[in-house]
Amino acid sequence: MKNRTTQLLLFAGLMALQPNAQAGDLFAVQVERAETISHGTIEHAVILIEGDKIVMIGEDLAIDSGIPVIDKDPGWVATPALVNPYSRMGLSSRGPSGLNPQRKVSGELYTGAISKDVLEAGVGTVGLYPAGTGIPGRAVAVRTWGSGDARILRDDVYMKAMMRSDSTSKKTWRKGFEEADEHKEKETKNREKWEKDREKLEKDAKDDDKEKADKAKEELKKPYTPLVPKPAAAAFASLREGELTALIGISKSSDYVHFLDALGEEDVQWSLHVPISRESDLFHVKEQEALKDRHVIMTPAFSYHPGTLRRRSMAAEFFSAGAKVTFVPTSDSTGAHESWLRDVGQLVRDGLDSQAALRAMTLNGAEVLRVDEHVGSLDEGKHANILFFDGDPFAATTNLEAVLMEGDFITGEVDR
Amino acid sequence: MRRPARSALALLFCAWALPASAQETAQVLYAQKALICGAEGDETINGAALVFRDGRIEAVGTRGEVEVPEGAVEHDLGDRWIMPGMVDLHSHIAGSGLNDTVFQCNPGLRASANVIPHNDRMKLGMLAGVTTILFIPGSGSNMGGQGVLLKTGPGGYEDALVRFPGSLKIAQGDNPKRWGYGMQRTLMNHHIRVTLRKGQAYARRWEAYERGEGERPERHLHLDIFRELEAKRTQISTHTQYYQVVLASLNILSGEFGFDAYIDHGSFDSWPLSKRAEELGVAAILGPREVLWPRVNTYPKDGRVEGSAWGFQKEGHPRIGFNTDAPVVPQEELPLQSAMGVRYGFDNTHFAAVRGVTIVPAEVAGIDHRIGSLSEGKDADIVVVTGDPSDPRSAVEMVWVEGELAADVRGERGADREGVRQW
Amino acid sequence: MIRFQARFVLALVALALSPSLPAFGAAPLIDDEEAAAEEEEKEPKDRYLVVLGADIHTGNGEVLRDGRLLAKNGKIVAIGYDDFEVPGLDYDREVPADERGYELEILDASNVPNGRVYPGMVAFSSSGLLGGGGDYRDSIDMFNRNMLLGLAAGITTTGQTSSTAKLKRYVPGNFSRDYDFDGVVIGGKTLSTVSWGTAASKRSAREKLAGAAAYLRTYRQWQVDVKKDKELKEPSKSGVDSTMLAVLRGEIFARFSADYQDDLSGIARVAMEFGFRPVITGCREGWVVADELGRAGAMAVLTPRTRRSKDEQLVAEGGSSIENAAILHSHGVQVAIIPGSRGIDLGGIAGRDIMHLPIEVGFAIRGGLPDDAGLASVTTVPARLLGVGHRVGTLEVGKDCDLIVTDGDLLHYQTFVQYTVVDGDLVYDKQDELYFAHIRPRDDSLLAPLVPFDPAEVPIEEEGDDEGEDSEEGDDEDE
Repeated sequence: MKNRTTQLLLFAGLMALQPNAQAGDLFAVQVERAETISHGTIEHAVILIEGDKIVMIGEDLAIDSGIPVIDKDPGWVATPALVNPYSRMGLSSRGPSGLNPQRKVSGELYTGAISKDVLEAGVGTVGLYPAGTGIPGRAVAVRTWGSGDARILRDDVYMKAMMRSDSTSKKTWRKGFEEADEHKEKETKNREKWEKDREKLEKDAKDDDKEKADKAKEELKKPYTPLVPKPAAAAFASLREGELTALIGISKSSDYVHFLDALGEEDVQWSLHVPISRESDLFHVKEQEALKDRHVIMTPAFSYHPGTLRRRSMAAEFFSAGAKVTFVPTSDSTGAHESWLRDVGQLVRDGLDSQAALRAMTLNGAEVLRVDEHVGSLDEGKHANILFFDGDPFAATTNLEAVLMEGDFITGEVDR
Repeated sequence: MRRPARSALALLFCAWALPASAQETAQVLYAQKALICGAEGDETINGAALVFRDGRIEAVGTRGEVEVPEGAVEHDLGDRWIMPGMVDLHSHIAGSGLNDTVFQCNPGLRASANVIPHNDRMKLGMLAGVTTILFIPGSGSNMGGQGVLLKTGPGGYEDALVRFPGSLKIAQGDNPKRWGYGMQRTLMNHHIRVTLRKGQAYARRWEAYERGEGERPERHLHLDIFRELEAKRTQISTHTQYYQVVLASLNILSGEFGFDAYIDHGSFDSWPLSKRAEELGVAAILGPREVLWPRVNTYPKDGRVEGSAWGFQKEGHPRIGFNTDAPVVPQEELPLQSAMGVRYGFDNTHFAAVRGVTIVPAEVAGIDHRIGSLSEGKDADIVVVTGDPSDPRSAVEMVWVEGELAADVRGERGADREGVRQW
Repeated sequence: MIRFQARFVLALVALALSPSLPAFGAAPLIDDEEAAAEEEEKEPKDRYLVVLGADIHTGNGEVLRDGRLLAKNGKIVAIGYDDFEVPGLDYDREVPADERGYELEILDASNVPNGRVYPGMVAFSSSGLLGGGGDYRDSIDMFNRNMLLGLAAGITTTGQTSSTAKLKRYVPGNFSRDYDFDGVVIGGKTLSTVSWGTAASKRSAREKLAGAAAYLRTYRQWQVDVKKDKELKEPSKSGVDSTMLAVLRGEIFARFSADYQDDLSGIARVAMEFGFRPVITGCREGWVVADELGRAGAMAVLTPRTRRSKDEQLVAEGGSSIENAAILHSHGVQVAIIPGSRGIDLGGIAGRDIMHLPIEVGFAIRGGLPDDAGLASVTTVPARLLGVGHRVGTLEVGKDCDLIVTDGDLLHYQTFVQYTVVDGDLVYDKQDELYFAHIRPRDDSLLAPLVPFDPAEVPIEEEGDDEGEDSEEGDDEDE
């Protein structure tokens, strides 16, 4: 919003619409630069926050004198809080094998699973996935603070699936679809049977025997009860309908090719998790059509072309090929979260586009977790999860000055 | 018996007991090609003739030009080639008990004590054309002991002996770490230097005494080898590989002490030290690994598979040979080692690979006055092959060791010979 | 003047990424997105591969000096000289590549010194080349380094425990085509192991064979009798060993592992008694009883460099011999050769693993095996043992286009594989991979243009015309 007048008018209008806002609820922050992620960089940005949401964001917005403004222009750079879409932090590492798409990791949550240091490192949202091989279940997106179920931002965010180059992985996938097909058939048959029975009942309802007719009429009132699907069948049916997405974990390029073979003609939303190891062979598949605009989750690490010291940045290569690179910290440890920005910074210094890098730590992760309506960028209506740095977030000397989560300052002494 | 009869009998006995006449019948070989492997670069002669007698080569040259003695036994070898018997400077198959590792430095121990001459494995090597080997102790200790240069042909120890001591075996790689107690390179190198220093001092005291200066020193059996080394009558065969280790070998053995030493493995990162080795006169006898794969902790090869012989040759090293470290690579596969060197980049112009298993190791071990090439005056160690000796497809058909026919497997099985060829 | 790039000319550049026109009539403004969305299901184009510029060794004795080979969709359709036409090369040359209804790849080997084309080798067994295990269709690692090294060694097919699979690498630079999973496994289990190590196992084998043979006789009799008496019941198979039955019926090979002459002799006798051809792995003392094995029609899988001294307690001759393969062959035993180490050895001791398969054959030739039998021992004989002889092992019309181009005699120690083709796709080029490119590198500028230069075609240039530089180098791919 560049036009001052429009801004003022809109602002005034907004103020008018507000119910009596309490003094503590509404405040603004003026920063030297805001990386919105969704619509570019805003210089001299003003972010207006009410309660837990961003109400407005724009360049040099005029703020009503009654509203406290934290003026950090020059000084601060604002970015959305970080999102880690793939973690098991705080949870046990054991899990079942085989086809279990109905299991929810949300059942494993406990208070204290996520350390406060992770929150203070700037990570606001974490996607926790279930442990196990095969298809171990569904992930949940949680806030990095709070307790109990209040932490849950969204459940059933994706179905985790481990894909390896072996028959078991592929059979597990196919089995899921087969069960969905089986269920569909059964369901159709059941419905047909019910309809046939209804025809008979309708005939009976017109019968001369009053008892029989009444009984039939009673029966006719009952609605159709669909069959309860097996859990795998339900999950794969949801996959087909786009209600559920899948996150495929692979370890090497051939796993990916085998996954496409197992998927066949099915139209399913999926994203990919690829571990980056020293001599990763993943560059083989970066040009694959199916990876364009696909979320590819990886750690911010360098690889070397196998057998050489030629450094390869998988993140940069996949980004150039058109994939939506999404970062996770190098491990689930607190230390890895604290150094996450530094680790990504190394890739940026090596040549990865810094906007892409920021997006990979925020909005892309939010998209994978399907909470991008609420977090991941600095937009009106989204949660006020904002990080304030005293410079370029990727520069080695920059400090994280303040962390704001849903309108409350977690760290950073601020004078309102 | 009466005296005259006894004398007559004695005379007869003497006549019978005397060795066969000094002038034995000469033998001449006519071959399609002779690989001379001469030191001055005379490489091959096509349409060759070679005369040998009394275990020595008398003459070699083009057929028709070579003077063939009266009554010489002729062998027309048709389209076969002849070459010198091959020399392997890293072999452990001449006997057993090769790793006495009670102490780390054993310069007094002798591999010769363990020799079983012409044993099965040596015989197989001989059938493949390997006629001289350096039998050395293992690499389980820093100084395994003294090696012995032997012929692989039939006969007892004295018949087989070429030179004792063949070498002092020093191992500077990681095998001696097996000794235990956390022993690492610092202590091992130090211990080697201490021993060499004592040994060299001992040798110099004896040299001084023999020149007439100084008192007769005490005799120390375990340091006698250093007298040989100091006088350059023998060399140090060094188990050494990896850059750091080879550098230590070069600096200590040749640089600090000035002994004649040669690299007896030279794998992994060794070839980048080629120029330094050349400066110090250290030869590279390479094996059993002839190939270097790109590995994380070795010098960056940018994905290339490199031959160690290729590397040394690229740096211009003039003395590159091959070994087997038998039984790691079986003795009879010495020519295959040279073939693998060539395969992975070693330029085989003028049969450099064949020289690498004949004259080069002979010269390096100081026995080239009698071994390593088809030259006048040298031992008649002659191998008859069906073609390029490095080629596994070429068969060895005849082997003479010092003029004695040790193997003859020519012709059709059943028709010309009994039994099958082992190799 | 038409200049062709070195090594490989991909005549069709826009592989499968070109959007097609919408199925309906041409609307005046066609949105790109619309066009892509309405892409009709196109039939994949026929793909041709022509190999020329080298001597073609077909593997069954023929050598075509400077011949040509044409493959269509992965199968060989013609081998010869100029007695057949190659689309896109002999005709259609003026038609732009993307307007032809087919794709043509030209493998011009004329820049390979002493270039020869051979059939891709068949490893009777190997380990680690396919990257997976069990069902290779679902577990093959098509990017695996060991597979690449196997292809670099010239191996295109390998037997595994109960199946036979190709080293089907992904095709570098061609992602548009889906990976052909169904082309990975080309054969099932063709060999069934029969224990022959102890007296008990020998007895058991004989009994099972006798039982199966008796059953077959009874069955044959029943086939005759049932014509007269329709009610007659089929003889029961209970107690009959199904494996031995399959062996006697010729459905599967009986595979024995034996080294000593007594055992080998016993196998030959039992094979002749019951009428089947035994496959024998090891066969170290085979040369002693070669005539018996020959009469029994045995097939041997050997490692020529096996060494073991004769048992000194025995008077009879024995032990290993380098002439084993040659002697067996001369008595009519078919010989397949495998190396001492069946996997890829990166330790640095070269010459004894699956990457050096031709070296192992070289040692058999040292022992007197004829050259053609040497080539057969790593092509046709293992192919036959694995039941895939109808598809691989030789270069013949109708067979799979699996071939290698070498820079010399395949069995010479200095020879490297320059190109490897599997199912008509180039999957290995020595100059494109980092491993061996620096060893006696190929000079790609030696390629002669495919079209002879006609001076009349070249326009006379005005002075001062600035023509761009013609690049003679091929792509400099890292991967």
